[in-house]
Amino acid sequence: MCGIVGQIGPQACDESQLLRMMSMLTHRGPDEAGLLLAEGVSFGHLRLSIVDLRTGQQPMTSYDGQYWVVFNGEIFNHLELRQELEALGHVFATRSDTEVLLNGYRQWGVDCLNRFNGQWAFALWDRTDESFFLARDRWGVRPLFYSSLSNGKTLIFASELKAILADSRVSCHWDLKALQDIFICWICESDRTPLQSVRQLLPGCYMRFKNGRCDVHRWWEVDYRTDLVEWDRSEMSWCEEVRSTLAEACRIRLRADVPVGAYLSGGLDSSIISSLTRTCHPDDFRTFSIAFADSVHDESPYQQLMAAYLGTNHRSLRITHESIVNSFEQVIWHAETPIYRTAPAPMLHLSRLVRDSGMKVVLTGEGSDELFGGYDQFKEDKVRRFWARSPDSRWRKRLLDRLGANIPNANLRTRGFWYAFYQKDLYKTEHAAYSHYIRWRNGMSLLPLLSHYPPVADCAEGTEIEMKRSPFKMDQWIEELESNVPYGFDRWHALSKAQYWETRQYLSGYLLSSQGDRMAMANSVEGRYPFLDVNVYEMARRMPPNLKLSALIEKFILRKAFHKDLPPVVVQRNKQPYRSPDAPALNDPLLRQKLIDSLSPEGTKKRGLFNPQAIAKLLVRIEKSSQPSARDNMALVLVYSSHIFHDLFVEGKMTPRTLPLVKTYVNLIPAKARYN
Amino acid sequence: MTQRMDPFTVVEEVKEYILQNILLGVSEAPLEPDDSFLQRGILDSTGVLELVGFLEEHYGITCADKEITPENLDSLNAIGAYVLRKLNQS
Repeated sequence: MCGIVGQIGPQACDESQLLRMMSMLTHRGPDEAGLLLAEGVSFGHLRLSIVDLRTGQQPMTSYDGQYWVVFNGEIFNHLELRQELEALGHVFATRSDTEVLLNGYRQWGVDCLNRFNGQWAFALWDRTDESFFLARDRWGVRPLFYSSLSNGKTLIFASELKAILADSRVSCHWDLKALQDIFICWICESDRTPLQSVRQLLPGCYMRFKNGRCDVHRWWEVDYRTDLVEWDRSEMSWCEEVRSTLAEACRIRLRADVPVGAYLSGGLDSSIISSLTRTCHPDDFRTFSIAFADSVHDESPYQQLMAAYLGTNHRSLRITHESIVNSFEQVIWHAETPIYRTAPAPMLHLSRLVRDSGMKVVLTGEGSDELFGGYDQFKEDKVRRFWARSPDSRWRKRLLDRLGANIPNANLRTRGFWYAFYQKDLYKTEHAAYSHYIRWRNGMSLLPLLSHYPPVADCAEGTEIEMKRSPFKMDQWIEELESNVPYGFDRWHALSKAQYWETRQYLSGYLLSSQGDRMAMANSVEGRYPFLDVNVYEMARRMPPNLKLSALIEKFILRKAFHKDLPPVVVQRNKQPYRSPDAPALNDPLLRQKLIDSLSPEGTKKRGLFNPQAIAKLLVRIEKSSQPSARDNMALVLVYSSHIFHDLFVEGKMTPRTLPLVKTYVNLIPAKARYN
Repeated sequence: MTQRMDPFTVVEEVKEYILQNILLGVSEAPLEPDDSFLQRGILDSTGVLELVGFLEEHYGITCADKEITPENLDSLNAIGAYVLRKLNQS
């Protein structure tokens, strides 16, 4: 795993500027650095050495010098692809998957992406026609951002925003529409980032860049079309396939020239991964977990149970309010976006524990909930659709009571009101995003906190913010999203539709980025996700939806398939969403000084993002409440993290860090041109 | 105070409470007496409890669990009528 940066075009930067960009990403690749300079091309690479430690340096060229690449990621099936490519006559000089990428592209062109099973972002230069090819994996495990200079002909790309911003020619103004989206659905929709000048290459997309022209195409998208579903197979047959496919997904993710460990949360998914990995990795298997002081968030009894059951070498980290508060600025520095929960903070500490334990790679359970129907969101959707078929039924809505996370235990008095809350838009079952209406409308209720509310219109980079004082049109916002769904979406099963939204937004925009890649790579740790193996996905899309969410039992098939491998209590327990203390930590009386300063009327006014009176009232509400509401919790974390983002990325300056040793230095600029 | 309460006063007082405490002093559009709090996304479950707490303290009434329904509490006018009914019962 690594960090990549680059500039392409007539105004591509010189060596010193490239080194400055690279230095912003030392955490992603502390082992060594490499750079390539050519006329109109600057590529930089920071390496976290995992595969082929001796000869896998980058930027790497193909054996004939036609292609150059900077690559961040892993192609887990590189050994199989290498054999295939060798049989086709390709020559390899290294053992690395980077060279498989180069030869794979030479052989199959864009279609090589469909053959790669892994997680990656890369930029490839074809010297024959001076074209560039940038691509990102299916789910967006690895990040890739880009910007263009004002002449529009020079492209700047990098694994993280901060490297792009290290070039002072790139402006850093808020994209207020993106901020609005983050409040509504917790992520930046489409290819936006919190900054107007920077875009992200979306998961499953590639870009071609030639002569200043930039074309983005989608090469992969979640597709749950129903004609693929194998309805008639037995449950036992599915169990066998689930076990073998996941075992293989784990096996190829153990391919590394360094030890591989695992995160063990005590839930079903990470327990399955650890169990499967333990089998193929019998020696000293190391697992890591987070423990909390309060029982609401803590899962340590299950973690200890699983660690003892599997006999892993286990380390647990106890998270306190102090550790969350003290690291929160660093969390935003790495997440590079406002966030709605503090949950990434413990993940930052956990990756440090992994690193301090001498490990660089961990397997984790992300993706299981999306592929196998694990979220309460899916149950909520199912119950509401069931209720909508007979709206006058007194008992159908009572199924909502089973969604523990949605009906706060202390608020049973308000149950009648709560049903009415879920009744909103009940009959719109034909709408594409029915499953997510309630979540989004909840987020929309926070928009009045924004000082630019009603929201602003799109505005071009560098122009003054143009205020459009028309009321925010919730329905229009939703319709815009719903108009951009895969072909044939209306014929998908209801669960598949909900899975799609969860994958499109939450998985790639938050789980894999803010809580995944960024928090792990902050401490130079690579996360690998067996549930996101392409073959696991292909299996999941052929599986009947009722084997994923059976009645209201989430991940039914996983429980069935692994019930003999795990302790019964782990198999049977309901999903406990991973959370950490939000307002109770940030507003802890002993720790909240920074929060108070940031959210003071002066602090709010200075940054200009939120309504100072509203924020003052929000603080009072949180202060007065022994248990702040979900909405207030979310509002506080969003507002505070937006302020921190503002300080770090809008007002802040990018200070170069220390670079690792430069082991690869390629200068293709003709000597004559160098001195011009 | 409670003996001379009229529905308009209740509506105005509750409106002010909701505007300042639930909506934090900012609102997209004016809060009309018949606006549904649920339709406008103004209340979540905690918000309802807060509102009930306010009604009980401010008007000296006790809201039974079965009365915490949208019919009684989902708009300013509904609350006005509900509070007056409760006051007349006491």
